[in-house]
Amino acid sequence: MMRSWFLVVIGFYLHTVVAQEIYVDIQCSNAYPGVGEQIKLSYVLKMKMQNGMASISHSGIKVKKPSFGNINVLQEGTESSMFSFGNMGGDMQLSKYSFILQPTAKGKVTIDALTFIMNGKEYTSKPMVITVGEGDPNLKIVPQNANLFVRIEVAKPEIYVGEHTLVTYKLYSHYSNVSVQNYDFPMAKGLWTEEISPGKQGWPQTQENIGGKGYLVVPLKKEIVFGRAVGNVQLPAISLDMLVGGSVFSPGSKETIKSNAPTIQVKSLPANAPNGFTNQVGKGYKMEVNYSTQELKANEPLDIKIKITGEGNLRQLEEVPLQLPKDFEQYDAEITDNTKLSPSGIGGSKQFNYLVIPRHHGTFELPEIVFSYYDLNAKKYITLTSPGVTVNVLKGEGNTAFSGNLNMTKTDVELLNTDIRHIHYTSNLRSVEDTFFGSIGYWSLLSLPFLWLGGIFLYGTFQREEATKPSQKKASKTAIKLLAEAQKQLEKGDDKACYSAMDKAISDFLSVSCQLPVAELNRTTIDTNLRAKGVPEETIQQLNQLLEDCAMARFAPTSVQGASLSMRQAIEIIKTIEKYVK
Amino acid sequence: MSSKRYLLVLMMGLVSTSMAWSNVAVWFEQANKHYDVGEYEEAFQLYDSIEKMQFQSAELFYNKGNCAYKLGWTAQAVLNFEKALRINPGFEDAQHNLALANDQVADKRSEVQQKGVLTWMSAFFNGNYQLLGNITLISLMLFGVLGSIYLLSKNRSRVWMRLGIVSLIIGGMALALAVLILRTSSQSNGAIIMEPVITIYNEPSENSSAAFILHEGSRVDILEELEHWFKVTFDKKVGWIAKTSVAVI
Repeated sequence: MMRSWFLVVIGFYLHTVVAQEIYVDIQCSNAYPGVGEQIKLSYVLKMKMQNGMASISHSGIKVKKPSFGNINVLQEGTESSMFSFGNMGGDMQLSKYSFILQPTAKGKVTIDALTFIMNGKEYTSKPMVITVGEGDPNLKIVPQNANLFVRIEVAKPEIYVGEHTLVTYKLYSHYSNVSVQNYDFPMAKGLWTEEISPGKQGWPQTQENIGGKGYLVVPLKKEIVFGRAVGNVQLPAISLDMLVGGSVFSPGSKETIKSNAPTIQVKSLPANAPNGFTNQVGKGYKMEVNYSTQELKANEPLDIKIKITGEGNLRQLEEVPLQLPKDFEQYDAEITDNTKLSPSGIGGSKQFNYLVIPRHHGTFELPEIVFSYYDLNAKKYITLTSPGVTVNVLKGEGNTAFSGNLNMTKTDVELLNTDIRHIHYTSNLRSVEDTFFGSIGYWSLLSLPFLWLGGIFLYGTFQREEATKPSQKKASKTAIKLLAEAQKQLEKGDDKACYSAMDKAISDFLSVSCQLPVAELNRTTIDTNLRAKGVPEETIQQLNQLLEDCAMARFAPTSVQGASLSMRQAIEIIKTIEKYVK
Repeated sequence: MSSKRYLLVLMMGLVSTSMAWSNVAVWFEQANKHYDVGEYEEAFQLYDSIEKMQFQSAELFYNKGNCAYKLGWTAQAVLNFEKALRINPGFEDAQHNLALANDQVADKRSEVQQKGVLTWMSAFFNGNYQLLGNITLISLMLFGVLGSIYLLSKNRSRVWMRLGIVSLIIGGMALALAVLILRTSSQSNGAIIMEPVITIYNEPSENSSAAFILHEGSRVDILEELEHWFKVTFDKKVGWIAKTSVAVI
């Protein structure tokens, strides 16, 4: 530490001051300033003079500064302390420390006491109260502690995911003599950071004028940050321990300054990213694809070189997806990174060298290679494609165990992705209210065929019974038919045959009419039966007569006339009986 | 008899149902189109309105379940796949998708499947017991016709009788299967938990002690019903659950 000796000798005689009195005086240019108005506040260390003279020797005066709250300190420092003899009965001024202040808000502000340290003794002022009024709204308020501050500057506060921006950490100093003793640069979370190397010379220092005040600007660090996820990311404030105003005589005062903490808004890229999008964001991308050969033997390597050139987050590009046929074995790409980092971003090229080996012979279509990125100039997705090629794979040479084995192994069909099966497009939608099945109507319809068949069956048996029972109508019809036959015999002149036929016809008819077998037919049974049915007595007599005639005719000769008469009689009788017998 | 009148009512019923059917068929098609372009929520709503029209089919529930799955509504997906399987126990795609949906359900349950011949028979007829009922009806009518030919023909050829018996047997089998499918598809004894987390109590009261906890999408079997409580079983554990927190399959 530098040590300076300050000797003050006042007066012409060496005189020992027995009771020296030292105090701190406060001078303020305006204790009632407006917001933004600049005021000067000075603390003066004074010593009372005795007999018009005072003397003191000390080894430097240190200052313990108060905090100024929300009041900006525009300027501060020790004012050239010439020996000033107070003409108006004033005291000797030992040191004067002044501030140029600028209140930033309305209200009463109490500034704590300031302390001078001299020869190990502390001399403390009174606190100072400043009442801040309305002020001129047009006054420019520059940052606090404006003599020395550090700022984080973000070139583009709104970026897309994957886009980058330049972040510069700058030290602004109004003093020419400052040095950084200690620093703390916390890492920002949610960003991908690449520091730019300043080179051997370091970042050039510049001059800047802020609010009419000249500053030396020292860029401390420059980095490129990339948005990783959507959201607002706050860059943490950095803090620096500075040593200010060191000179030959004093080591300077220590000051800790803290930067602002700017926020970067990371926006999401537009939806509907195309195929082959691998989160690349940038400008002017190009793709070059190079196949080492298009004809090779099985199990021989094929090189596919893909070179992506452009300006963007190329360093984060891990692969360009290849869609190879299943029979091609693909190895991890060999990556050559030729990207350069500069304050304007990352540019250059990245080359992916894929080694693929076809395991089976045949002609294969390698599909087109698709690479997409979001172009910041065009503000849209751009898809680069390299056309697909046909690769002719010939049979491998020799039947080495290696290739043979590989060719022989049957591979399981790999299920690439387990997902739900697709919907069905056709459906037989049924109403829940459609309860026809199981309803009474359904069951009755179901029983219909059985009822129907039962009916048919019963009808059939009835029909057969009827068929076995000889009917009256049929009987008379047969009788008349038989009589017609008898008539024919008569015409031939065979009257005997005629009578016998007539007899048969009548007895058959009567058997049916009286419901008696032919054998049981005789005079009495016929008579009683017919009478019971209400056949007139006259007809019964005629019938008896006719039957007798028939019996007679068999044995005695008869006339043809008689036979034909009997015939007519027989028809008449049958017709009459038919009326009564039903 | 009033069979003519009944037939008329039946016909009118068929006409009105077929009109509603053409409506829901159009919705079904629209819903499928929404699904194809990834508008799963719209598709889900359309399938839902078909269901609200009292129309259903195994495919309807299956497609609806697919929408729910794509939307990440696990409980709805499980519910609808289960419903599809209730109608058609042999629906292979629904079984596959249900298994995937169940993978996302928090509660593990040892699998119990007790479906046999009915499964593939049902799969063959798509769970359509009405169709089987109609097959029965047609084969019995055929039986009637063949039987009458046999009975009324003079020579009573045995061929007609044999054909008639064959159709009678077909009809009988179809009827038996229809009744079986109807019984399994209409009586559901399962329910799906629709709330994120739900407590199953030891007694049908919220003041009783908690038996176990289930998460959304789990399937419980209903043992009995008491006012607004179901007695359910899950993996051999038994408890009571509020009816409002489950959806019956």
